[in-house]
Amino acid sequence: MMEDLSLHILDIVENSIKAGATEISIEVSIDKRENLITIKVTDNGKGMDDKTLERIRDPFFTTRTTRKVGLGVSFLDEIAELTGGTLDIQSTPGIGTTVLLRLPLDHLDRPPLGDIISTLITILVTNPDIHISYRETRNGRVWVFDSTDVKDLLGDYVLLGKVKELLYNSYKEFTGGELL
Amino acid sequence: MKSLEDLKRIREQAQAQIRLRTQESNTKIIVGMGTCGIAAGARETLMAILDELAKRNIQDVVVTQTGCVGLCEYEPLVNVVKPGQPKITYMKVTPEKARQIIASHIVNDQIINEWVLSTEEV
Repeated sequence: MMEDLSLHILDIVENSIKAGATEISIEVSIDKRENLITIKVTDNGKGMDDKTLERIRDPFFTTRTTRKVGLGVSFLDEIAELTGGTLDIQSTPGIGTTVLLRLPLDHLDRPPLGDIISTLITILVTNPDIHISYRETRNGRVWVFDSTDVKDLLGDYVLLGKVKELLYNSYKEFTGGELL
Repeated sequence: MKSLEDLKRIREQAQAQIRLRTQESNTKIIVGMGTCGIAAGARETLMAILDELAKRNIQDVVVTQTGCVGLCEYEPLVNVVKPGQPKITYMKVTPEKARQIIASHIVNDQIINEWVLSTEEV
């Protein structure tokens, strides 16, 4: 299992990249009144047909050849089931895939959101050619990040360290240090 | 993002030192980022690698990722490929081990044999 939702987001995005996606959008929305956290990842990868989609939650289904189990999606499915949330995956071959996870905010088994900035930096550095956007809505405020803004800074690790620091500060200002 | 202006400033100041990474000629560090790698802590390992490269101002290294290679029980896996040398795969690389690999293997060309899972000619 993964410790937090930001690691699951990284895992979903890695799936998108394996599916050949060049455009990935991550939307996180936290609604206390509705007691809901929503995570939506949309990509323009090669998509899946209905037959694949049907089997994707099965832990013993995987398209990879290096091992016989595929755990990423089944982990997510398990979290949804455990907390009374939902996991919806929609996909169109040739168009892309959308993963939508909705979880009750106050459920004890809901993993914490975790370190979103580390997830974004990891995706950016290891996949410099994809375009990724992140948008989080929390308490009526919005924080956005777009990889276009930092694309030409990624080749230098000292600059990358500064970008990381800026992102951490900016995000912390947005969340007010509130850990969810 | 509030800090966009700051980023633009950093970019302008540093324009001269920005180097494009060329995949062929540089040393490569490849981190396993499949579900198994992520669950075993690969993201924190990668963050430590980036931090250590920045601290030492090392620029001619490409950090990239690979998916699951079927050795899930040894994750996080980190491969180091230096030009003209075999690919070295390190196993169970914690952030602390990753920093030592940078110091020993990347900087001083000393492979840390006790952590090596496999060596492969490329």
